[in-house]
Amino acid sequence: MSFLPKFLYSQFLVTPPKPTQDCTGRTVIITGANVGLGKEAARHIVQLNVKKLIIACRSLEKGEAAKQDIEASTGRKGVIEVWQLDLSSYESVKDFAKRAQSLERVDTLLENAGVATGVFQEVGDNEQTITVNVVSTFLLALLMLPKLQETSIKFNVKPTLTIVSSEVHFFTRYVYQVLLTVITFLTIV
Amino acid sequence: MSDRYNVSKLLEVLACREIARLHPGSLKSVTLNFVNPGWCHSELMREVTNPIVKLLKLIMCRTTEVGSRTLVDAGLKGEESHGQYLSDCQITRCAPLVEGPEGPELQKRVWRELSEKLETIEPGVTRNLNA
Repeated sequence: MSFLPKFLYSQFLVTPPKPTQDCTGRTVIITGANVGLGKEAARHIVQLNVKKLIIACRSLEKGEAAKQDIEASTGRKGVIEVWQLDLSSYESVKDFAKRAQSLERVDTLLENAGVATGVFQEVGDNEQTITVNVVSTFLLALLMLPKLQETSIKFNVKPTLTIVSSEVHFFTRYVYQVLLTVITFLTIV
Repeated sequence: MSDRYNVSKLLEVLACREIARLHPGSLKSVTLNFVNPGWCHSELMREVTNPIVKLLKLIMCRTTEVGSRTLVDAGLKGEESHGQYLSDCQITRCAPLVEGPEGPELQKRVWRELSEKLETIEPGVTRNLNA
């Protein structure tokens, strides 16, 4: 049970420092940046002088609202673009990656978008949480990897691909190591 | 379904670790890392109705802005974080299930299954890792 003391210490006593790393000249993509953590991360990065920031989200309307909110608070216009991305659709993921090839560069892909639900719903060929958080997330990662690598060569930089995970990975009810096919199991249960 | 979200996050951790194990150092100068924001106020738990959980959220959650600092930190971090789990902006050990003796086999199995699935969705896509 050493998780709980560390968790409590973290939550109550640790405050991550404000980011200060300059992002001049960079292009950053954040999925699910229309609300919550993604939006605040976008706000920080715009504040850090990023050249271009793509808010990738399901609802263009919400994305536009987030864009205006960030533009207002940072005073920086012409930096943010809102692109459609629906992680419950593999076609949407592929379309997004294709569109991203038109970008001059991608320095950071921050995969923040995800779902948490208690209701079983099949989306695509899996249960929804698995489709969005796992399959589409890694599909996007692999489709975007060449662009990040191209950026590294063209601009002599070291791009980063970040998956937003969670400490809740410490807590799983089933003993998955005995299962032969985890993802298929999760589709039928 | 009660721990489905947790399992999805575990699968992310396992897949990232296996990719990094197969491609140590970096992915041709691209860093792959994964981050824990901590428990934050956000839209993720907007559907929660349990009053105890709501109260705990009020007392314990980080603000969304503070939580987002961990995302920014991770997104701007370099090769030292490749294949690593970041928590409170530090490289941190993953869950015992992941770091323990079952971890390597579990990683391999998850990635094998996931990559096969990805190949059916977009044939050739996993070759992007080896390019």
